[in-house]
Amino acid sequence: MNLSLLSFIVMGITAVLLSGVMITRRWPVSAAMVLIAIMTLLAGMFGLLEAHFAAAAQIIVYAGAIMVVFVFVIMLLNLPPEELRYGGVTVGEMILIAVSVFVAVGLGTKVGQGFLTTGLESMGVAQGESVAGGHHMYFPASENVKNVAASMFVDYLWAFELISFLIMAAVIGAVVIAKKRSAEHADAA
Amino acid sequence: MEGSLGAVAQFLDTNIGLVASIGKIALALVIALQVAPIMVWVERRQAAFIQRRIGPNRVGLFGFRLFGLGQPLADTIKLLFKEDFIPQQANKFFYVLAPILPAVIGLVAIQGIPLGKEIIVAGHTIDLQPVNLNAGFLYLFAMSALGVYGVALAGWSSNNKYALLGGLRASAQMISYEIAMGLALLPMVFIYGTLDLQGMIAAQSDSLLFGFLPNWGIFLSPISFVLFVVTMFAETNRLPFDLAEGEAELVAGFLVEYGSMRWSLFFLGEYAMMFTLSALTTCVFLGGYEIPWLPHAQLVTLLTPIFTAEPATWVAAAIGLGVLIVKVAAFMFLFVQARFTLPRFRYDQLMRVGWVYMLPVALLNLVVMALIVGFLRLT
Repeated sequence: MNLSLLSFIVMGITAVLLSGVMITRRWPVSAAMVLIAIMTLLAGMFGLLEAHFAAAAQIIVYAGAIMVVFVFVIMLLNLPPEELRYGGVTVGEMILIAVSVFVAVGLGTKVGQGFLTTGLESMGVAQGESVAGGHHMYFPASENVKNVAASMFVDYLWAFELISFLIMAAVIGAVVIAKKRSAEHADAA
Repeated sequence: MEGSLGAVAQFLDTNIGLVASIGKIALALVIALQVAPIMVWVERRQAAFIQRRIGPNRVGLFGFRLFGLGQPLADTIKLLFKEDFIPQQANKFFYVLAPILPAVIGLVAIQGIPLGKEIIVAGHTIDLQPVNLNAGFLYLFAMSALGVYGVALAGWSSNNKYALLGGLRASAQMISYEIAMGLALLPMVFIYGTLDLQGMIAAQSDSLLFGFLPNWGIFLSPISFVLFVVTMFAETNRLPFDLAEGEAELVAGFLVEYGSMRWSLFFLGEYAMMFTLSALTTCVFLGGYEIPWLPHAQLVTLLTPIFTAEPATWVAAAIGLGVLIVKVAAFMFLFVQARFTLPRFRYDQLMRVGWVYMLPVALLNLVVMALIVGFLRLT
Protein backbone atom coordinates (compact mmCIF):
# COMPACT_ATOMS: atom_id res chain seq x y z
CA MET A 1 0.00 0.00 0.00
CA ASN A 2 1.59 3.25 -1.03
CA LEU A 3 1.66 6.46 0.99
CA SER A 4 -0.86 8.44 -1.05
CA LEU A 5 -3.47 5.67 -1.00
CA LEU A 6 -3.02 5.34 2.77
CA SER A 7 -3.41 9.08 3.35
CA PHE A 8 -6.41 9.16 1.03
CA ILE A 9 -8.18 6.49 3.09
CA VAL A 10 -7.22 8.12 6.40
CA MET A 11 -8.45 11.52 5.19
CA GLY A 12 -11.70 10.04 3.87
CA ILE A 13 -12.50 8.22 7.09
CA THR A 14 -11.63 11.30 9.16
CA ALA A 15 -13.87 13.46 6.98
CA VAL A 16 -16.82 11.08 7.43
CA LEU A 17 -16.28 10.88 11.19
CA LEU A 18 -15.97 14.66 11.45
CA SER A 19 -19.27 15.04 9.56
CA GLY A 20 -20.87 13.12 12.40
CA VAL A 21 -19.11 15.34 14.93
CA MET A 22 -20.29 18.43 13.05
CA ILE A 23 -24.02 17.73 13.21
CA THR A 24 -23.88 16.89 16.90
CA ARG A 25 -22.18 20.11 18.08
CA ARG A 26 -24.22 22.33 20.37
CA TRP A 27 -22.42 25.58 19.60
CA PRO A 28 -22.89 26.76 15.99
CA VAL A 29 -19.31 28.08 15.90
CA SER A 30 -17.97 24.62 16.74
CA ALA A 31 -20.06 23.09 13.96
CA ALA A 32 -18.80 25.68 11.48
CA MET A 33 -15.19 25.05 12.48
CA VAL A 34 -15.57 21.29 12.06
CA LEU A 35 -17.15 21.91 8.65
CA ILE A 36 -14.06 23.94 7.68
CA ALA A 37 -11.86 21.05 8.78
CA ILE A 38 -13.93 18.69 6.62
CA MET A 39 -13.54 21.01 3.63
CA THR A 40 -9.79 21.13 4.15
CA LEU A 41 -9.71 17.32 4.25
CA LEU A 42 -11.72 17.17 1.01
CA ALA A 43 -9.23 19.56 -0.56
CA GLY A 44 -6.44 17.25 0.53
CA MET A 45 -8.23 14.32 -1.10
CA PHE A 46 -8.65 16.28 -4.35
CA GLY A 47 -4.94 17.04 -4.18
CA LEU A 48 -4.09 13.35 -3.80
CA LEU A 49 -6.19 12.63 -6.89
CA GLU A 50 -3.91 15.07 -8.76
CA ALA A 51 -6.77 17.58 -9.05
CA HIS A 52 -4.71 20.44 -7.67
CA PHE A 53 -6.95 23.14 -9.07
CA ALA A 54 -10.06 21.62 -7.50
CA ALA A 55 -8.18 21.40 -4.20
CA ALA A 56 -7.16 25.06 -4.28
CA ALA A 57 -10.63 26.15 -5.41
CA GLN A 58 -12.23 24.09 -2.64
CA ILE A 59 -10.24 25.98 0.00
CA ILE A 60 -10.43 29.43 -1.61
CA VAL A 61 -14.16 29.35 -2.39
CA TYR A 62 -15.65 27.22 0.38
CA ALA A 63 -13.32 27.36 3.36
CA GLY A 64 -11.89 30.80 2.59
CA ALA A 65 -14.91 32.78 1.42
CA ILE A 66 -18.30 31.16 2.05
CA MET A 67 -17.44 29.83 5.50
CA VAL A 68 -15.94 33.18 6.54
CA VAL A 69 -19.37 34.74 5.92
CA PHE A 70 -21.05 31.89 7.83
CA VAL A 71 -18.71 32.34 10.78
CA PHE A 72 -19.20 36.10 10.60
CA VAL A 73 -22.98 35.79 10.87
CA ILE A 74 -22.83 33.12 13.57
CA MET A 75 -20.43 35.22 15.64
CA LEU A 76 -22.48 38.36 15.06
CA LEU A 77 -25.63 36.69 16.48
CA ASN A 78 -23.55 34.76 19.02
CA LEU A 79 -26.52 32.76 20.32
CA PRO A 80 -25.82 30.34 23.17
CA PRO A 81 -27.07 26.75 22.58
CA GLU A 82 -29.95 27.29 25.02
CA GLU A 83 -31.60 29.78 22.66
CA LEU A 84 -31.42 27.49 19.66
CA ARG A 85 -34.22 25.09 18.92
CA TYR A 86 -33.98 21.67 20.51
CA GLY A 87 -36.85 19.23 20.35
CA GLY A 88 -38.10 15.91 19.07
CA VAL A 89 -37.49 14.83 15.50
CA THR A 90 -40.60 15.30 13.34
CA VAL A 91 -41.87 12.78 10.79
CA GLY A 92 -40.78 14.98 7.89
CA GLU A 93 -37.27 15.16 9.27
CA MET A 94 -37.16 11.40 9.67
CA ILE A 95 -38.18 10.93 6.02
CA LEU A 96 -35.49 13.44 4.99
CA ILE A 97 -32.88 11.57 7.03
CA ALA A 98 -33.88 8.27 5.41
CA VAL A 99 -33.64 9.78 1.92
CA SER A 100 -30.27 11.36 2.63
CA VAL A 101 -28.86 8.11 4.02
CA PHE A 102 -30.05 6.36 0.85
CA VAL A 103 -28.44 8.97 -1.38
CA ALA A 104 -25.24 8.98 0.68
CA VAL A 105 -24.88 5.20 0.49
CA GLY A 106 -25.55 5.22 -3.25
CA LEU A 107 -23.12 8.04 -4.00
CA GLY A 108 -20.55 6.80 -1.54
CA THR A 109 -20.35 3.32 -2.97
CA LYS A 110 -20.36 4.57 -6.57
CA VAL A 111 -17.50 6.96 -5.91
CA GLY A 112 -15.81 4.47 -3.63
CA GLN A 113 -16.04 1.75 -6.28
CA GLY A 114 -14.50 4.03 -8.84
CA PHE A 115 -11.54 4.65 -6.58
CA LEU A 116 -11.03 1.33 -4.83
CA THR A 117 -11.47 -1.03 -7.77
CA THR A 118 -9.40 0.85 -10.31
CA GLY A 119 -6.87 2.65 -8.10
CA LEU A 120 -5.47 6.12 -8.45
CA GLU A 121 -3.37 5.59 -11.55
CA SER A 122 -5.80 3.77 -13.82
CA MET A 123 -8.70 6.22 -13.48
CA GLY A 124 -9.76 7.59 -16.85
CA VAL A 125 -9.07 11.21 -16.01
CA ALA A 126 -5.59 10.55 -14.69
CA GLN A 127 -4.73 8.68 -17.88
CA GLY A 128 -5.33 11.73 -20.04
CA GLU A 129 -7.42 9.53 -22.33
CA SER A 130 -10.90 10.33 -23.53
CA VAL A 131 -13.41 10.48 -20.69
CA ALA A 132 -17.04 9.44 -20.59
CA GLY A 133 -19.58 11.41 -22.60
CA GLY A 134 -17.45 11.87 -25.69
CA HIS A 135 -15.50 14.84 -24.31
CA HIS A 136 -11.80 14.62 -24.68
CA MET A 137 -8.99 16.26 -22.75
CA TYR A 138 -7.41 19.17 -24.56
CA PHE A 139 -4.18 19.11 -22.58
CA PRO A 140 -2.16 16.50 -20.70
CA ALA A 141 -3.77 15.43 -17.43
CA SER A 142 -1.12 17.29 -15.40
CA GLU A 143 -2.39 20.60 -16.84
CA ASN A 144 -5.24 20.90 -14.38
CA VAL A 145 -6.20 24.53 -14.81
CA LYS A 146 -6.12 24.41 -18.61
CA ASN A 147 -8.37 21.34 -18.68
CA VAL A 148 -10.89 22.88 -16.28
CA ALA A 149 -10.89 26.08 -18.32
CA ALA A 150 -11.29 24.17 -21.58
CA SER A 151 -14.31 22.21 -20.42
CA MET A 152 -15.80 25.33 -18.82
CA PHE A 153 -15.36 27.66 -21.79
CA VAL A 154 -15.50 25.22 -24.71
CA ASP A 155 -17.59 22.16 -23.94
CA TYR A 156 -19.98 23.54 -21.36
CA LEU A 157 -19.92 27.26 -22.17
CA TRP A 158 -23.71 27.60 -22.40
CA ALA A 159 -24.40 25.71 -19.20
CA PHE A 160 -21.75 27.76 -17.43
CA GLU A 161 -23.18 31.08 -18.62
CA LEU A 162 -26.72 29.99 -17.72
CA ILE A 163 -25.57 29.18 -14.18
CA SER A 164 -24.20 32.71 -13.85
CA PHE A 165 -27.67 34.00 -14.81
CA LEU A 166 -29.21 31.74 -12.19
CA ILE A 167 -26.86 33.08 -9.52
CA MET A 168 -27.58 36.66 -10.56
CA ALA A 169 -31.33 35.98 -10.34
CA ALA A 170 -30.80 34.57 -6.84
CA VAL A 171 -28.82 37.64 -5.76
CA ILE A 172 -31.47 40.03 -7.10
CA GLY A 173 -34.18 37.93 -5.45
CA ALA A 174 -32.41 38.13 -2.10
CA VAL A 175 -32.10 41.92 -2.40
CA VAL A 176 -35.77 42.27 -3.35
CA ILE A 177 -36.92 40.15 -0.39
CA ALA A 178 -34.72 42.13 2.01
CA LYS A 179 -36.00 45.44 0.63
CA LYS A 180 -39.62 44.35 0.97
CA ARG A 181 -39.09 43.35 4.60
CA SER A 182 -37.42 46.62 5.50
CA ALA A 183 -40.14 48.63 3.73
CA GLU A 184 -42.85 46.81 5.74
CA HIS A 185 -40.83 47.39 8.87
CA ALA A 186 -40.61 51.11 8.10
CA ASP A 187 -44.40 51.29 7.56
CA ALA A 188 -45.11 49.56 10.86
CA ALA A 189 -42.82 51.88 12.80
CA MET B 1 31.21 0.59 7.82
CA GLU B 2 31.77 0.60 4.09
CA GLY B 3 28.64 -1.51 3.54
CA SER B 4 26.39 0.69 5.64
CA LEU B 5 27.63 3.82 3.84
CA GLY B 6 26.91 2.16 0.53
CA ALA B 7 23.41 1.25 1.72
CA VAL B 8 22.80 4.84 2.78
CA ALA B 9 24.02 6.09 -0.58
CA GLN B 10 21.76 3.66 -2.40
CA PHE B 11 18.76 4.64 -0.24
CA LEU B 12 19.41 8.31 -1.04
CA ASP B 13 19.73 7.53 -4.72
CA THR B 14 16.43 5.64 -4.97
CA ASN B 15 14.44 7.95 -2.69
CA ILE B 16 15.95 11.22 -3.90
CA GLY B 17 12.50 12.78 -4.38
CA LEU B 18 11.41 12.07 -0.80
CA VAL B 19 14.72 13.18 0.73
CA ALA B 20 14.78 16.34 -1.40
CA SER B 21 11.19 17.17 -0.42
CA ILE B 22 11.97 16.83 3.29
CA GLY B 23 15.08 18.94 2.84
CA LYS B 24 13.25 21.71 0.97
CA ILE B 25 10.40 21.79 3.49
CA ALA B 26 12.89 21.95 6.35
CA LEU B 27 14.74 24.82 4.67
CA ALA B 28 11.50 26.79 4.17
CA LEU B 29 10.49 26.11 7.80
CA VAL B 30 13.85 27.36 9.08
CA ILE B 31 13.47 30.55 7.05
CA ALA B 32 9.87 31.10 8.20
CA LEU B 33 10.75 30.57 11.85
CA GLN B 34 13.60 33.11 11.70
CA VAL B 35 11.34 35.82 10.30
CA ALA B 36 9.33 36.57 13.46
CA PRO B 37 12.20 37.11 15.95
CA ILE B 38 14.28 39.16 13.52
CA MET B 39 11.30 41.23 12.41
CA VAL B 40 10.32 42.01 16.00
CA TRP B 41 13.77 43.43 16.54
CA VAL B 42 13.74 45.31 13.21
CA GLU B 43 10.33 46.72 14.02
CA ARG B 44 11.34 47.96 17.47
CA ARG B 45 14.55 49.51 16.19
CA GLN B 46 12.89 51.17 13.21
CA ALA B 47 10.04 52.49 15.38
CA ALA B 48 12.64 53.97 17.68
CA PHE B 49 14.48 55.66 14.81
CA ILE B 50 11.26 57.12 13.43
CA GLN B 51 10.34 58.40 16.88
CA ARG B 52 13.89 59.72 17.58
CA ARG B 53 14.69 57.13 20.23
CA ILE B 54 17.42 54.49 20.28
CA GLY B 55 15.39 51.32 20.82
CA PRO B 56 16.63 47.97 22.11
CA ASN B 57 20.40 48.01 21.54
CA ARG B 58 21.81 46.44 24.71
CA VAL B 59 21.20 42.70 24.58
CA GLY B 60 23.96 41.03 22.58
CA LEU B 61 25.23 37.53 21.97
CA PHE B 62 28.51 36.06 23.35
CA GLY B 63 29.70 39.42 24.59
CA PHE B 64 29.11 41.25 21.31
CA ARG B 65 26.37 43.81 21.27
CA LEU B 66 25.37 43.44 17.56
CA PHE B 67 22.97 46.43 17.63
CA GLY B 68 20.81 44.56 20.15
CA LEU B 69 20.20 41.48 18.02
CA GLY B 70 20.07 39.37 21.19
CA GLN B 71 16.80 41.09 22.09
CA PRO B 72 14.51 38.54 20.33
CA LEU B 73 16.11 35.74 22.39
CA ALA B 74 15.56 37.66 25.60
CA ASP B 75 11.96 38.42 24.59
CA THR B 76 11.27 34.76 23.87
CA ILE B 77 12.69 33.64 27.21
CA LYS B 78 10.58 36.28 28.97
CA LEU B 79 7.43 35.16 27.14
CA LEU B 80 8.12 31.49 27.89
CA PHE B 81 8.40 32.19 31.63
CA LYS B 82 5.20 34.23 31.82
CA GLU B 83 2.10 32.67 33.34
CA ASP B 84 0.00 30.74 30.82
CA PHE B 85 -3.44 32.10 31.59
CA ILE B 86 -6.83 30.96 30.26
CA PRO B 87 -9.84 33.16 31.11
CA GLN B 88 -12.47 31.27 33.11
CA GLN B 89 -15.40 31.98 30.78
CA ALA B 90 -13.47 31.29 27.58
CA ASN B 91 -14.21 28.36 25.31
CA LYS B 92 -11.07 26.41 26.26
CA PHE B 93 -10.69 24.32 23.10
CA PHE B 94 -10.96 27.19 20.64
CA TYR B 95 -9.02 29.55 22.90
CA VAL B 96 -6.07 27.15 22.75
CA LEU B 97 -6.58 26.38 19.05
CA ALA B 98 -6.85 30.00 17.85
CA PRO B 99 -3.17 31.02 18.12
CA ILE B 100 -1.99 27.71 16.69
CA LEU B 101 -3.95 28.17 13.45
CA PRO B 102 -2.19 31.27 12.09
CA ALA B 103 1.21 29.89 13.07
CA VAL B 104 0.60 26.57 11.31
CA ILE B 105 -0.96 28.22 8.25
CA GLY B 106 1.93 30.67 7.99
CA LEU B 107 4.46 27.83 8.10
CA VAL B 108 2.49 25.76 5.56
CA ALA B 109 1.93 28.69 3.19
CA ILE B 110 5.64 29.45 2.85
CA GLN B 111 6.13 26.00 1.29
CA GLY B 112 4.59 27.33 -1.94
CA ILE B 113 7.38 29.85 -2.53
CA PRO B 114 10.13 28.98 -5.06
CA LEU B 115 13.35 29.35 -3.08
CA GLY B 116 15.50 28.95 -6.18
CA LYS B 117 15.43 27.47 -9.65
CA GLU B 118 17.01 24.05 -9.33
CA ILE B 119 20.09 22.25 -8.13
CA ILE B 120 21.70 19.15 -9.58
CA VAL B 121 22.80 16.55 -7.02
CA ALA B 122 24.47 13.38 -8.30
CA GLY B 123 22.69 13.66 -11.64
CA HIS B 124 19.26 14.34 -10.14
CA THR B 125 17.69 17.71 -10.88
CA ILE B 126 15.84 19.08 -7.84
CA ASP B 127 13.30 21.88 -8.24
CA LEU B 128 13.74 24.25 -5.31
CA GLN B 129 10.04 24.96 -4.78
CA PRO B 130 8.97 22.80 -1.81
CA VAL B 131 5.33 22.43 -2.92
CA ASN B 132 4.71 22.93 -6.61
CA LEU B 133 1.05 22.25 -7.29
CA ASN B 134 -0.39 22.56 -10.76
CA ALA B 135 -2.65 25.31 -9.41
CA GLY B 136 0.44 27.49 -8.90
CA PHE B 137 0.05 30.49 -6.64
CA LEU B 138 -3.63 29.66 -5.97
CA TYR B 139 -2.17 27.49 -3.20
CA LEU B 140 -0.82 30.63 -1.50
CA PHE B 141 -4.20 32.33 -1.94
CA ALA B 142 -5.91 29.36 -0.33
CA MET B 143 -3.60 29.46 2.67
CA SER B 144 -3.86 33.20 3.12
CA ALA B 145 -7.68 32.87 2.96
CA LEU B 146 -7.59 30.42 5.88
CA GLY B 147 -5.49 32.81 7.95
CA VAL B 148 -8.52 34.78 9.14
CA TYR B 149 -9.90 31.91 11.22
CA GLY B 150 -7.20 32.29 13.84
CA VAL B 151 -8.19 35.90 14.44
CA ALA B 152 -11.94 35.24 14.24
CA LEU B 153 -11.75 32.27 16.62
CA ALA B 154 -9.56 34.15 19.06
CA GLY B 155 -12.13 36.92 19.12
CA TRP B 156 -15.06 34.57 19.68
CA SER B 157 -13.52 32.14 22.16
CA SER B 158 -12.13 34.80 24.51
CA ASN B 159 -15.68 35.66 25.60
CA ASN B 160 -14.86 39.35 25.62
CA LYS B 161 -16.81 42.03 23.76
CA TYR B 162 -13.72 43.86 22.52
CA ALA B 163 -12.21 40.62 21.27
CA LEU B 164 -15.44 39.60 19.52
CA LEU B 165 -15.62 42.96 17.73
CA GLY B 166 -12.02 42.51 16.62
CA GLY B 167 -12.76 39.05 15.25
CA LEU B 168 -15.84 40.29 13.39
CA ARG B 169 -13.91 43.17 11.88
CA ALA B 170 -11.16 40.82 10.74
CA SER B 171 -13.54 38.48 8.90
CA ALA B 172 -15.43 41.32 7.17
CA GLN B 173 -12.17 42.95 6.14
CA MET B 174 -10.73 39.70 4.82
CA ILE B 175 -13.75 39.08 2.56
CA SER B 176 -13.66 42.64 1.25
CA TYR B 177 -9.99 42.69 0.28
CA GLU B 178 -9.59 39.15 -0.97
CA ILE B 179 -11.58 39.92 -4.12
CA ALA B 180 -9.44 42.93 -5.01
CA MET B 181 -6.35 40.84 -4.27
CA GLY B 182 -7.34 38.12 -6.70
CA LEU B 183 -8.37 40.61 -9.38
CA ALA B 184 -5.06 42.45 -8.99
CA LEU B 185 -3.11 39.31 -9.81
CA LEU B 186 -5.31 38.09 -12.69
CA PRO B 187 -3.71 40.36 -15.35
CA MET B 188 -0.33 38.83 -14.47
CA VAL B 189 -1.74 35.36 -15.16
CA PHE B 190 -2.62 36.19 -18.72
CA ILE B 191 0.49 38.25 -19.32
CA TYR B 192 2.67 35.26 -18.40
CA GLY B 193 0.14 32.65 -19.53
CA THR B 194 0.70 30.49 -16.47
CA LEU B 195 -0.20 30.16 -12.79
CA ASP B 196 3.11 28.53 -11.99
CA LEU B 197 5.50 30.79 -10.05
CA GLN B 198 8.60 29.16 -11.55
CA GLY B 199 7.15 29.78 -15.02
CA MET B 200 6.39 33.41 -14.13
CA ILE B 201 9.95 33.97 -12.90
CA ALA B 202 11.34 32.38 -16.06
CA ALA B 203 9.12 34.62 -18.19
CA GLN B 204 10.42 37.67 -16.34
CA SER B 205 14.10 36.88 -16.80
CA ASP B 206 14.33 35.57 -20.36
CA SER B 207 14.12 38.93 -22.11
CA LEU B 208 14.55 42.66 -21.55
CA LEU B 209 11.76 45.23 -21.72
CA PHE B 210 12.51 47.97 -24.32
CA GLY B 211 16.03 46.55 -24.45
CA PHE B 212 17.21 47.77 -21.04
CA LEU B 213 14.63 47.21 -18.27
CA PRO B 214 14.31 43.78 -16.67
CA ASN B 215 11.06 42.21 -17.93
CA TRP B 216 9.46 42.45 -14.47
CA GLY B 217 5.75 42.39 -13.69
CA ILE B 218 6.00 45.75 -11.93
CA PHE B 219 6.83 47.38 -15.29
CA LEU B 220 4.31 45.31 -17.27
CA SER B 221 1.36 46.12 -15.03
CA PRO B 222 2.16 48.79 -12.41
CA ILE B 223 -1.48 49.22 -11.32
CA SER B 224 -1.69 45.53 -10.44
CA PHE B 225 1.44 45.91 -8.34
CA VAL B 226 0.11 48.86 -6.35
CA LEU B 227 -3.27 47.18 -5.81
CA PHE B 228 -1.65 43.95 -4.73
CA VAL B 229 0.69 45.59 -2.23
CA VAL B 230 -2.22 47.49 -0.65
CA THR B 231 -4.37 44.36 -0.36
CA MET B 232 -1.36 42.55 1.06
CA PHE B 233 -1.32 44.99 3.97
CA ALA B 234 -5.05 44.39 4.50
CA GLU B 235 -4.73 40.63 4.25
CA THR B 236 -1.99 40.45 6.89
CA ASN B 237 -3.87 42.80 9.28
CA ARG B 238 -1.02 45.28 9.36
CA LEU B 239 -1.31 49.02 9.88
CA PRO B 240 -3.03 51.00 8.39
CA PHE B 241 -5.43 48.04 8.14
CA ASP B 242 -5.12 46.56 11.64
CA LEU B 243 -8.71 47.35 12.56
CA ALA B 244 -8.95 43.93 14.25
CA GLU B 245 -6.56 45.17 16.94
CA GLY B 246 -7.25 48.89 17.00
CA GLU B 247 -5.71 49.77 20.37
CA ALA B 248 -7.48 53.13 20.53
CA GLU B 249 -11.05 51.82 20.30
CA LEU B 250 -10.82 48.05 20.92
CA VAL B 251 -8.00 47.93 23.52
CA ALA B 252 -6.19 45.24 21.51
CA GLY B 253 -9.07 43.53 19.74
CA PHE B 254 -8.71 39.78 19.40
CA LEU B 255 -5.46 39.84 21.41
CA VAL B 256 -7.06 41.24 24.59
CA GLU B 257 -7.25 37.97 26.51
CA TYR B 258 -4.02 36.48 25.25
CA GLY B 259 -0.67 36.51 26.99
CA SER B 260 2.72 34.80 27.16
CA MET B 261 3.64 32.37 24.37
CA ARG B 262 0.10 32.10 22.97
CA TRP B 263 0.17 35.83 22.27
CA SER B 264 3.47 35.55 20.45
CA LEU B 265 2.22 32.63 18.32
CA PHE B 266 -0.09 35.12 16.61
CA PHE B 267 2.96 37.13 15.67
CA LEU B 268 4.82 34.09 14.43
CA GLY B 269 1.90 33.45 12.06
CA GLU B 270 1.54 37.09 11.07
CA TYR B 271 5.21 37.51 10.22
CA ALA B 272 5.38 34.19 8.37
CA MET B 273 2.38 35.30 6.30
CA MET B 274 3.98 38.71 5.68
CA PHE B 275 7.09 36.93 4.45
CA THR B 276 5.09 34.58 2.23
CA LEU B 277 3.01 37.33 0.62
CA SER B 278 6.10 39.51 0.16
CA ALA B 279 7.82 36.59 -1.51
CA LEU B 280 4.76 36.06 -3.72
CA THR B 281 4.90 39.73 -4.76
CA THR B 282 8.60 39.36 -5.43
CA CYS B 283 8.02 36.31 -7.62
CA VAL B 284 5.16 37.82 -9.60
CA PHE B 285 6.32 41.43 -9.92
CA LEU B 286 10.05 41.59 -9.19
CA GLY B 287 11.60 38.55 -10.85
CA GLY B 288 11.81 36.32 -7.75
CA TYR B 289 15.23 34.84 -7.03
CA GLU B 290 16.73 36.07 -10.32
CA ILE B 291 19.41 38.75 -10.36
CA PRO B 292 18.30 41.56 -12.70
CA TRP B 293 19.96 41.36 -16.15
CA LEU B 294 21.54 37.99 -15.24
CA PRO B 295 19.26 34.96 -15.78
CA HIS B 296 19.89 31.79 -13.79
CA ALA B 297 21.24 29.85 -16.78
CA GLN B 298 23.85 32.53 -17.50
CA LEU B 299 24.82 32.65 -13.83
CA VAL B 300 25.41 28.89 -13.84
CA THR B 301 27.52 29.18 -17.02
CA LEU B 302 29.57 31.93 -15.36
CA LEU B 303 30.11 29.87 -12.22
CA THR B 304 30.86 26.52 -13.90
CA PRO B 305 34.58 27.23 -14.65
CA ILE B 306 35.15 28.17 -10.98
CA PHE B 307 33.21 25.41 -9.21
CA THR B 308 32.76 22.63 -11.86
CA ALA B 309 29.31 21.67 -13.15
CA GLU B 310 27.28 20.39 -10.18
CA PRO B 311 28.55 22.62 -7.36
CA ALA B 312 28.02 25.60 -9.67
CA THR B 313 24.24 24.99 -9.50
CA TRP B 314 24.46 24.85 -5.70
CA VAL B 315 26.31 28.18 -5.53
CA ALA B 316 23.85 29.70 -8.01
CA ALA B 317 20.94 28.46 -5.87
CA ALA B 318 22.52 29.97 -2.73
CA ILE B 319 23.00 33.30 -4.53
CA GLY B 320 19.39 33.10 -5.77
CA LEU B 321 18.10 32.51 -2.23
CA GLY B 322 20.13 35.50 -1.06
CA VAL B 323 18.65 37.67 -3.82
CA LEU B 324 15.12 36.51 -2.94
CA ILE B 325 15.67 37.32 0.73
CA VAL B 326 17.07 40.77 -0.10
CA LYS B 327 14.01 41.57 -2.25
CA VAL B 328 11.62 40.25 0.40
CA ALA B 329 13.49 42.17 3.11
CA ALA B 330 12.82 45.38 1.19
CA PHE B 331 9.08 44.62 1.35
CA MET B 332 9.24 43.75 5.04
CA PHE B 333 10.93 47.10 5.62
CA LEU B 334 8.07 48.76 3.75
CA PHE B 335 5.63 47.04 6.12
CA VAL B 336 7.51 48.42 9.13
CA GLN B 337 7.86 51.89 7.64
CA ALA B 338 4.12 52.04 6.86
CA ARG B 339 3.22 50.89 10.37
CA PHE B 340 4.93 53.82 12.04
CA THR B 341 4.14 56.55 9.53
CA LEU B 342 0.49 56.01 8.50
CA PRO B 343 -2.50 56.43 10.84
CA ARG B 344 -5.13 53.71 11.07
CA PHE B 345 -8.22 53.89 8.83
CA ARG B 346 -11.65 54.40 10.31
CA TYR B 347 -13.80 51.32 9.74
CA ASP B 348 -16.14 52.93 7.21
CA GLN B 349 -13.11 54.32 5.36
CA LEU B 350 -11.62 50.84 5.24
CA MET B 351 -14.78 49.43 3.69
CA ARG B 352 -15.06 52.32 1.23
CA VAL B 353 -11.45 51.93 0.10
CA GLY B 354 -12.02 48.23 -0.45
CA TRP B 355 -15.36 48.21 -2.24
CA VAL B 356 -15.75 51.66 -3.82
CA TYR B 357 -12.19 52.38 -4.95
CA MET B 358 -10.03 49.27 -5.12
CA LEU B 359 -12.53 46.82 -6.58
CA PRO B 360 -13.59 49.00 -9.58
CA VAL B 361 -9.97 49.99 -10.25
CA ALA B 362 -8.95 46.33 -10.16
CA LEU B 363 -11.79 45.40 -12.54
CA LEU B 364 -10.95 48.23 -14.93
CA ASN B 365 -7.27 47.29 -14.83
CA LEU B 366 -8.24 43.69 -15.60
CA VAL B 367 -10.31 44.69 -18.65
CA VAL B 368 -7.68 47.11 -19.99
CA MET B 369 -4.84 44.62 -19.53
CA ALA B 370 -6.94 41.89 -21.17
CA LEU B 371 -7.53 44.12 -24.20
CA ILE B 372 -3.83 45.06 -24.44
CA VAL B 373 -2.60 41.48 -24.10
CA GLY B 374 -5.23 40.23 -26.57
CA PHE B 375 -4.27 42.94 -29.07
CA LEU B 376 -0.55 42.13 -28.74
CA ARG B 377 -1.22 38.41 -29.21
CA LEU B 378 -3.23 39.08 -32.39
CA THR B 379 -0.61 41.31 -34.06
